[in-house]
Amino acid sequence: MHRQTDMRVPILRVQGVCTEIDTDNGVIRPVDGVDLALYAGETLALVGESGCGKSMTALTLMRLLPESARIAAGEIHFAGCELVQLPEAQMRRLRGRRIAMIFQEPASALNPVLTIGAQIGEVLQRHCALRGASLRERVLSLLVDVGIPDPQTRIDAFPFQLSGGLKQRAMIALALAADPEILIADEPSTALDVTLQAQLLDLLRELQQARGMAMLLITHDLGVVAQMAHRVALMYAGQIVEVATREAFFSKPHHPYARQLFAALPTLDKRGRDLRVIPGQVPGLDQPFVGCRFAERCAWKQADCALIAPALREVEDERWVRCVLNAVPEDPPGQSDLALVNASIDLPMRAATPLVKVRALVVHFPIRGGLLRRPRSWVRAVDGVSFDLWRGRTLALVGESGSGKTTVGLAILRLLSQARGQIYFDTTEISQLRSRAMRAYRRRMQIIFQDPYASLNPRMQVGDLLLEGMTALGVAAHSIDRAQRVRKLLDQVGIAQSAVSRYPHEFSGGQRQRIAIARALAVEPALIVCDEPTSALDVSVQAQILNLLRDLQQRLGLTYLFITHNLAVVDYLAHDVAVMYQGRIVEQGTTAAVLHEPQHPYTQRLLAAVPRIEQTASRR
Amino acid sequence: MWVILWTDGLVWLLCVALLLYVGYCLVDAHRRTPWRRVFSQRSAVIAAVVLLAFALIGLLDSLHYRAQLSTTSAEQRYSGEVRSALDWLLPHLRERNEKTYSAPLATHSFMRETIDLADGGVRRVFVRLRYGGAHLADPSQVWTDVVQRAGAGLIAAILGWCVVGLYVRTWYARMPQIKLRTAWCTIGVLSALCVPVLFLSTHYHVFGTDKVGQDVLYLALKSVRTSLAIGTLATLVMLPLGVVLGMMAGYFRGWVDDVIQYLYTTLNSIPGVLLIAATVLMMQVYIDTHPSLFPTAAQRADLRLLFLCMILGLTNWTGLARLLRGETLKLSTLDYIQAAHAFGVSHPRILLRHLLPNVMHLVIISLVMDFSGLVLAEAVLSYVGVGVDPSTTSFGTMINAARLEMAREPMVWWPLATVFIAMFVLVLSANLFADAVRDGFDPRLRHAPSD
Amino acid sequence: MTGYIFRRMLYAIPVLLGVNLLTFVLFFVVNTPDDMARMQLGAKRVTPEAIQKWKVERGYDKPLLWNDTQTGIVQATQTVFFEKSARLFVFDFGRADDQRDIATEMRTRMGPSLALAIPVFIVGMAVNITLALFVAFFRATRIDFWTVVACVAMMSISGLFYIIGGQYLISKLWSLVPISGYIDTLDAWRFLILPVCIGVISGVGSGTRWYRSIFLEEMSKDYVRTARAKGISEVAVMFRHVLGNALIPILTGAVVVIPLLFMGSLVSESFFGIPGLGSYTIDAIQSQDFAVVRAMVFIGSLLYVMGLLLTDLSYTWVDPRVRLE
Repeated sequence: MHRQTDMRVPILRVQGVCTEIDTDNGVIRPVDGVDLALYAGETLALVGESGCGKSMTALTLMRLLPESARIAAGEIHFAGCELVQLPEAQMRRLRGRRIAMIFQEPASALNPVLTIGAQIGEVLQRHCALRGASLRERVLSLLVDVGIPDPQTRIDAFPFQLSGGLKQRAMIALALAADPEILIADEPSTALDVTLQAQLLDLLRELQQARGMAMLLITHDLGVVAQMAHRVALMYAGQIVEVATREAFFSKPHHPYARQLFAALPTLDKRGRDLRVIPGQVPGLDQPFVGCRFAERCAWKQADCALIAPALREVEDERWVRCVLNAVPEDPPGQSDLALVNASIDLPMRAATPLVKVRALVVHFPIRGGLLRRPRSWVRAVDGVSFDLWRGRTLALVGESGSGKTTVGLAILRLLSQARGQIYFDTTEISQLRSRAMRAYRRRMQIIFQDPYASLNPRMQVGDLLLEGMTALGVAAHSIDRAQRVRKLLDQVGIAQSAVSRYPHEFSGGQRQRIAIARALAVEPALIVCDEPTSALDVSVQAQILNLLRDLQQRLGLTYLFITHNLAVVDYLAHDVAVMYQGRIVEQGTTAAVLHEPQHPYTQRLLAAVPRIEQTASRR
Repeated sequence: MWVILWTDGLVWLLCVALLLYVGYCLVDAHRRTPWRRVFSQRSAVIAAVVLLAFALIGLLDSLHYRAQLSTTSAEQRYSGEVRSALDWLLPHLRERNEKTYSAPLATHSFMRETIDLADGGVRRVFVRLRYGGAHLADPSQVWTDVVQRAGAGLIAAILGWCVVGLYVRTWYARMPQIKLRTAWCTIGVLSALCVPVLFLSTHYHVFGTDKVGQDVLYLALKSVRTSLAIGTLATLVMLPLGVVLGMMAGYFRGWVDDVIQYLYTTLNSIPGVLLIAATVLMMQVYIDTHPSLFPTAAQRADLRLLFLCMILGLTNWTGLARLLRGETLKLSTLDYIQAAHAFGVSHPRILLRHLLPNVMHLVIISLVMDFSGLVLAEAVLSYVGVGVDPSTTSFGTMINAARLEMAREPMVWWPLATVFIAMFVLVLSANLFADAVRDGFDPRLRHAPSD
Repeated sequence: MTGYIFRRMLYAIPVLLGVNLLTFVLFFVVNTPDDMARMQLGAKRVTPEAIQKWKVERGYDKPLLWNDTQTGIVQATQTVFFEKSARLFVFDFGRADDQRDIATEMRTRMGPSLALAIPVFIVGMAVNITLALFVAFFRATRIDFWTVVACVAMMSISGLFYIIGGQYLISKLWSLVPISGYIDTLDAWRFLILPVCIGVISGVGSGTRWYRSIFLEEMSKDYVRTARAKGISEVAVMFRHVLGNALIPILTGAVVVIPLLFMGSLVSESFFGIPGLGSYTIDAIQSQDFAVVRAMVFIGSLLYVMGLLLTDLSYTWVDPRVRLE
């Protein structure tokens, strides 16, 4: 089924496409002059941080924009047609037939009241005029193609009866049903766990090679890009800033944004050093731009960067860059010697006794039923977990979703009434303490949550947020002392003093996470449970938070229980690792031991599934 | 002598609370934002101005006094009749009663009357009204006179509007997000409609008179207070019950939730009208058997109105409670509540500081949304006979009195038409305002396209 | 499934008990039977004998909760509570003030009530859904805007005006159908057609607006985008995908009122002189017939609880995701 096409003539050509969205606060332009070319049989990865317009680009190509959005300018050439001007009826003939798309959230992208078979069949009815038995046969073969086990029964299943991975496979079957020439995959594996993600990416790669179709893969994960893409297009603030082959992109990224992005990635070789952060944040897209959109954050900024907007130009063969720099830049002065301070991160040795000792921790949630709503069965979220937290060190609790790692964190803080087992804090058993006696220990341990948007009360001013813990737990008796402490805390986390009387919604995600850290620090805890503190953040912001956490640990001697699924962060930050699987810890030890010489098969499987960036060239 | 009826006191209390809330919103930009969104919609501004006009009438009608009968004697005596500031402002409407029906702007009675002739015989003729157009020597001049008076009113309204407008204009620029110009135009249209009516009402019955000769315009104005009282006072009962029980059910869950859910399922299961009917009947029995507790007719009628408000509140809190229970269930799993638990913050404080401010928008939305429903409910309940006291003027009692008049020959249409217009304008502006408030406070719920 | 239904029916018992208790407190504790007798008899004829006679006639002369004059089980049954409240559970409602048996009366009046309520319900749903679907299809256009404006305007008119206006227009001005009355034969349609039309029209405003918002919410879901990405037409998206999902909240929301249709409509039955349960209730309220009001409260809450059960069941019929344990 290979389509033999001249690789030099793109099957999809996008020229200067602009998309505008009307909002309450005026018009924004999430896509602002995008040029792309997609060749038959290749995978082009469209990469960028959240809000850079990559998903909106995909929807623009499909002409599936929300009602408040419209294509303001540009041309899209595909199959001899110009898609922007094409009548809707003709566009419908292309959609699903020649360009298909799969979406990020398989749970919401499938119609909940129709069976999988009916939803896939609909495409075949529409485009291939299949009916009856032949239709069903075709759907079955598609389900086999995407590796859904037991297709005979699954064809009549409703989406809610399938797991997340199977739902996404069904979604792929739906997209591939009419054998399209182009598949647009919008973060196809982001909603899935890392092992499922690896399987799904393998499947997509196989299908793409077998069918010879072109794939536009939209992702924020450079690891996925390294695994999947032939070519890479990097997006920033609504524009493409660099297009290159995968090898060229990863070995010597040209655009300063790309370089700084790589520098911000946490990896083992940066362990013990500060990650290089990208200062500032992504500019809002509701403003007119004059110069280069990255100029303000650029480490190689030149005098006229803020005045003249650079064009996307071919700097070498198959490499396009939107930057005034002609050659791959050298590290800017003053940045390269970024301290190798504290090169040995493993300085804090284990003390005589651990700060926290957890023994046989069990959390079973009841599933109630029956007349009196007695528990009928139990969800064994945590099933006998024991570990130690050593003073001044970081223990990473690693596992996939549903493994019970967050439950462990909440149980240690005594935030779950269902928890059983022993928790020793400084040799005191705290798991049975009444709330009055518990108050003394509430001061000693605090928590930082994953979602910076849900962890701060939107109706409280930042100053009040920071004061709350102090008043509740009686830290600093005088209001003057407290006000002083608030100022010091904001200083510590690098937030301006004026924040005191502002509300959380005025801050970006990264800033909110800093405020959340300040709130936890307000009561001077010894232990902080960090529940996926960076997984909702973009790479550049993640680096800032990781630097801050590491810095605070060294200055204040904090102990972290770092709950995460991101193994790169673990490699960079953690001293000890415990791997959780189905409510139990299957393996624990020092980071080096667990991550580099895994013993348990599950740990090995997990590590193998993580998409990694091949280190083809030395990169800082 | 001032008389403070129960409902007066509560209505004014609500007013003070509202003003405090406005002040509270003004000092804080964060709390102002949703209201700014509300008032950036043109329909909301128009509706709010109209509602304010109704509220002005209602508030004037909520200042009650008993007139002093004799000023000379040392011992002061007061009339037994309770009047309001509205009566004092518009005495001609209250006092100039005809014998029976008369059509709008009529000079002659609606039905022929039998009069004795000088020669001893009788004739059935249309007689001149006692007040309507009585100043005219030649009744055939009525239309000229009406046009003149209405024209004078219109000119007065436009002049006043323009003069004040010159001053008001400078405010537009100061608050660009709020559609002040629209508000001022609405005021202009309103006064262009109302001032001529006011000018005419001194010499005519603009909307006619009813069966006992009362001016229909006066009755309609008096009904406004009843509607507003019911629409707002019912919330006094509903608000604390709905907020406290709903939030407690959602926050504590377990047996607290079970008890509260049982409570509102039980209350909900009784058809609303029947529960109200049963309660009102029982209250009627109580009032009738304890006459000594209610000295004047006005107080009795007022207490019945208050009871009706409370019963409406009692039957309506379940909806709010259910809404808040759901929202609190959702919110209390959020991280910031967990964070408060991690600080050992007490339950009352979490409910008050963390949860209440975050469900407040729902409370405001449902209060505003309920208003029009309550006004409409009053009409039906009064029709059924379990609404306000028959002596209280309300839209319901007016409809009830007028509904058989459609069948008369010739038809008496003006009382019903007046009620229709007044109620329609009130409820429509309440509905429009409620929609705008919902859009402003909860943008996710936005469905209607904004104009 | 059957176990679930059984449990839900058991749950109805405490609710009905609560309703019963509430009405008992309301009718017999807030005011004593003496008070009620005094009021019903009027000021003129109030003598202790007359009150006693009134009470004996209606069975209010017994103690409220506990009869000390009797022995054994009768201590609990020879009381006002048992006679007036507990018996409701076996549908023994006693007699109205005009000495007619309430249960019999209810049975005969149910027919006319249903004859009016069922067409209003079905036609109303059909009209509202059709209109809402139509408006949702033309969302964000002028058609949509003006229909919503019309809906808000229609919502703002009291139901009483629809009836009065409809009666006037159709019957008086055009003399098409009789204003009011009812006969118990197939010819009843002549009497029913006007109240049914008015019932439907008075509900169009709020119904259409409500359903439209449900449709629009469904249309903003991700699966609709998936359907569009398949290249199927907008009409197919509406009917095959949006309608199917939107009908879940619409149908299950409507099911709860189905049992209550038995209660009839208070206002329109009395306006149109239809001898249904609604006008029965209104007559009872106006003549202060406590026995009838109590019986109707009980029946009403029973039907409501049934409606809740039906709602749960209807979820399992229309939504594949819901399985009752």
